[in-house]
Amino acid sequence: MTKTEFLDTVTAQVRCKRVRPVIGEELEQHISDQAREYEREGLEAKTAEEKAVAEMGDPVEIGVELDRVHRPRMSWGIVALTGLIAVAGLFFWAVFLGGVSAGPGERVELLRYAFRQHILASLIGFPLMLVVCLADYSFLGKHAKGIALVFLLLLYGGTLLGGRQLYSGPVFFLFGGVSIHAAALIWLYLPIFGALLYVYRGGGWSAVGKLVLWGLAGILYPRMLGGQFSLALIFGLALAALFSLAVLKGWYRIRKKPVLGTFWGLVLGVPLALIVSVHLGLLPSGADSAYSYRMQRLLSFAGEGDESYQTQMAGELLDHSRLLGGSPEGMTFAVESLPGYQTDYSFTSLIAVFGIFGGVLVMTALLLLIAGIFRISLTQKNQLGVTVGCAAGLALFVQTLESILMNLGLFPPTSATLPFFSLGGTGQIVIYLLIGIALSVCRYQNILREEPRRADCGERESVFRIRLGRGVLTYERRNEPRGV
Amino acid sequence: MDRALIAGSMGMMILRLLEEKDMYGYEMIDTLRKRSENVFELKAGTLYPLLHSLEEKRYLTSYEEEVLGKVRKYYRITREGRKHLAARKEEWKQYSRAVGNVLAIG
Repeated sequence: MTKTEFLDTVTAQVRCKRVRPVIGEELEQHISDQAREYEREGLEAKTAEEKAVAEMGDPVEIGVELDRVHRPRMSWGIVALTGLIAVAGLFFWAVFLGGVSAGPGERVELLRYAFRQHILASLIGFPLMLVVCLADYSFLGKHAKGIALVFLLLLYGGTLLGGRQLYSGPVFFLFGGVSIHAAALIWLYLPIFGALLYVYRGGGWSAVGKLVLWGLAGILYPRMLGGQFSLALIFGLALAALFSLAVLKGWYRIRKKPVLGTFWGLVLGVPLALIVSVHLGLLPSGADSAYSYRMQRLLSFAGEGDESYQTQMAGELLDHSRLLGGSPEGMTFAVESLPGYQTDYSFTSLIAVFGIFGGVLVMTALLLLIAGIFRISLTQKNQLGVTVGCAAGLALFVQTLESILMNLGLFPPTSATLPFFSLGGTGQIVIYLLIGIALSVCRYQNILREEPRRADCGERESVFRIRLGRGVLTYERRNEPRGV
Repeated sequence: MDRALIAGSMGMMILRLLEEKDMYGYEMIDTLRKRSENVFELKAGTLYPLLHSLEEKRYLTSYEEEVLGKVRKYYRITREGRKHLAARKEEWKQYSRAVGNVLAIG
């Protein structure tokens, strides 16, 4: 058997086509090493190769064994948990609707409409998640800059040209009969940013500067939608966390600790200083109305001034909730007196339906799902998978966290989305898309190949580097493998 | 001999080799052959599926590196791999002590 025949037979057994060249090259390398050894012992080239091939063993058997290792992995646990939580969300609103059906007609009608939208979004989103999962996410890494650019252009351009503000509320894009909630789309930029982090790997300060610009391009979008300050804040936090992860992994030629220290000092320090100075009365409430409004909100959150109406109502509802089981009075109260009970304050509504114990149980399931996504992503060998998968996890995590904190009165009242439980169309579909991306990262973990590592990112240390026109001459020293 | 037992002990030996330094497949077979005085003739056909499955279990990671114009796939032991090896070694010691004790009777 010739070398080519042998390699073809082995790789033919491996069903996943993407992994075939990787296996082929490794085995070919081995055969030629062995053949050279036989030639050195005095065999003729052709005989040496034949002997080396025979030495390898049965190609079908090897191929079948390799196929077993390199098949796409479906994370059925995540799929099942997602399905379970989605059903819990639908069940929750069905019970809620049943509980308040005798309430004020117009509001119940609105709720019924929103619930229908939510069901529709789930029916579209869940299969969409599975489709995304089957798609190979590595194209994100190959065309990250192009995808980011097109995404931002569509988002900003679409908002300028086709954005409609409904009842001075959120901005929607209207396409025929379909309306898309603009702000929810921004979360899709997070995995794209994860891919950008990967693309700029190996760069120095200029790469970091570009990444900051890419990040700002995303953070500024909620501002464009008319001062969605809280969204910009939590989205910015998610971006910052993702960026820190990449820095910690040593992707850029910068000093990790001072950079991260300064970075987080700014990220956390500035808002903190603002809150403290408001608390101490050091900052005047400005003349600009948006600024003044924000100051009022901050003041009320800092304990000065009045608590917001919504925080009060949510607090009252939570105070009267039962430990076990729902309270129909609570549901009616929510519909009548808690604006945003179906979206921003869905956690409070959830507790009115399932009781405190039920609410905690459901939230535990949601956090388990998020933890599962992080576990898959952080243990990835493929580096693109790490940031892209973590982006999906972070998007879900910061939204959940903001929502729970706000419902408990620990975050200023604003708009918040609790994944799977806040009624909505676009937000729901975006969440399924994000989980789909995480599933894809898991699915291709034993298949995608990492590019041969660059000197800057591996164990090698570059001792000096000379730039000659377009080429770079690098002298490297190889470090000993790191111990534990 | 039992297949699982062979795969298990081979896996242990590979992890042990990689504890010292990163190696590529051919290098492992060559080193093992020399060290075991030709007792362990590890077939390449057994080695590569084993390496790939150890990598899947995250006991190993691999990277490609160009050496003298050829791209070689090197394997490196991970922290989990070291832990796993320590546990297997302990089991092995117990087992061989037990066999030794039984054989020493009479």
